[in-house]
Amino acid sequence: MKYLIIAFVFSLSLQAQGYINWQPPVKKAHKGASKEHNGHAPRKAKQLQLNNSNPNTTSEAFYIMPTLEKHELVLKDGLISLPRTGMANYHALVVNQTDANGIKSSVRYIYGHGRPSKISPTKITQMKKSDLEIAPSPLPREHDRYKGSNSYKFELHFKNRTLANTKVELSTTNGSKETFKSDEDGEFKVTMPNDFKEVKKGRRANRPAEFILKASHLQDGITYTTTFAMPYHVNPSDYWQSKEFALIILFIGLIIGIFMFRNINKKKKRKA
Amino acid sequence: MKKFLTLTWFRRLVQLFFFVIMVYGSLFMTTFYSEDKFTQALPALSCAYDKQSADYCSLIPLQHQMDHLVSGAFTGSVSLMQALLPTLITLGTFVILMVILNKAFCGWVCPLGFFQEMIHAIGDKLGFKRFHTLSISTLKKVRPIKWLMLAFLVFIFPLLTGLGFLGHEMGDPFCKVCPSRILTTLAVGDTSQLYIDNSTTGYMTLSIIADLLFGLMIAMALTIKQPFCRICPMLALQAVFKKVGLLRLVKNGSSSCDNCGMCAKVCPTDIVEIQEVADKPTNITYSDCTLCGACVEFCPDDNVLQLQYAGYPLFKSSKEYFKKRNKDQRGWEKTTWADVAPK
Repeated sequence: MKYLIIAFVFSLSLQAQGYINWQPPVKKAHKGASKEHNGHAPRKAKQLQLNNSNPNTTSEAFYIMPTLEKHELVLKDGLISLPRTGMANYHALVVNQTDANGIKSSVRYIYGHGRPSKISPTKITQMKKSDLEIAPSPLPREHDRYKGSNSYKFELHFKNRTLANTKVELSTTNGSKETFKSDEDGEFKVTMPNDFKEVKKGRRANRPAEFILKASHLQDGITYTTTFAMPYHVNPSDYWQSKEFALIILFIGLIIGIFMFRNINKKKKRKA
Repeated sequence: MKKFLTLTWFRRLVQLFFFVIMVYGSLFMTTFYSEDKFTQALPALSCAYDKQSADYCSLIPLQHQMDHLVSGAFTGSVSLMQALLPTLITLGTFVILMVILNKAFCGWVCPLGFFQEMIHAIGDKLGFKRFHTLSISTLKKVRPIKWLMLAFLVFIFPLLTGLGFLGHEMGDPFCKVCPSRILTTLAVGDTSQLYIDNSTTGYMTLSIIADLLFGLMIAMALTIKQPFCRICPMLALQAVFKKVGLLRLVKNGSSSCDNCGMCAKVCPTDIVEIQEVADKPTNITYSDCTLCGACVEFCPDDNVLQLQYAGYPLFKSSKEYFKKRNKDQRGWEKTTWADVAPK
């Protein structure tokens, strides 16, 4: 119930600002549901919801494979089922909408499992998908993901060129809000807020939250708006991982190694 | 003074070249994430946790495949073909690379092997007394460890995790304790892999072992040659396929070998069996061999030891080379930083 309310409030705040964005549909948590993950085994088709979409406008939604192939998608009641591509690496889910208020877009990247794509995800983030676009530079690599307290670089693109000195707003489903500004090269750095509450120990014990980056740009009387949404996770270093203890253990290892060397040396001397 | 380029120095340059590629490769070779890398089946410890590497070792996909796919064949959640095909592809690619370079991946490519050799060189210069060989009794205890590491940490524990008998932390237990994970991430300025994880007893135990092992490896490498390589499961996995490699260490059946033991003394993994006299040309690429060629360099007899590629000698022992190499080595061992430091 709590998640339903948060998602509802979050989407209302976006609607008020005329932004559209991709988000996982909110499902009621089942009590006693299995927490075991099924690794890289086949999964159910993923669904995503387009929030604040105007039903009276034409939406162009497409899915870009890691090989940069483009597949048209059909929105049904703002919901989309992602096709199974059987391909590893990042896929891009894109929507472009034009209405009386201007041109809106939203991009979300989804990691897939399967055969290697042989193409760097940098190419998918750099290719033009919308007129105004927030591009991660780069996306978190395998074995990594967006985490609280860590900093990540993004670029703001407008019609294939970087867009300088433009305001970008960050908001999260945990309630944080912050504003950034792109520099001369269109780049900006975001430090993910550590705004998780009631954090439990363990990577799987905590649900990820969603962050949204929003930007708008006025050109020739047309307002362009875009969002970039992805999940972000609790940073283990903030809660259940310690670097200080690691350094102590490493130092103990060094001492034990030196003692072992001294013992072997003594034994050799005795034998001699 | 005329400089003498030894095989060891040439190997160091090759190691340095591969260290840069393995650890920082994606920065200049391709773009970020390195176009899915060259292969995910490299027979050397190039770590997938390093966000700037250009490749990664076969041990991580093998553990994941045991955990997520091969276990599925036992439970019936995936077909036998689906379960085994990725593992066969990984091993198939591994075998192709083994055919090309055989166990030289350890001695010429592995970033962790290069790191340990550099630490050993620093130990030399700091004046630490080096151990030329470990005792036979110690070797007998140490040698089986790599096979146990391969069997349990790469295959059995991940498989049992996939079957639900062990906790998720045992899904990739070798990576959790591998010093290369800590080394290569620290080398790119990423401290995220140096931690003690207190979320569960299992994670805590594995993280303590990893950090302890990393410290132990550095301290021991100051005096002992290649301490971690001796227990590395990659060495064991390579040993399984060593017969298919085109690069080999060959001992010629020759009466000129006087069993002086120099080859065994300089061997970084203490393969004492190299000094045994052979009656006919014999492939002596033992399980612990990293094909570094040190034994060939320090063999004082003509043509007794050879590094051969597809039957053609690439480098062979000779009296003349030995004299120069031995002089070079004595010069290296004689001078420590204490000798050259301003007083």
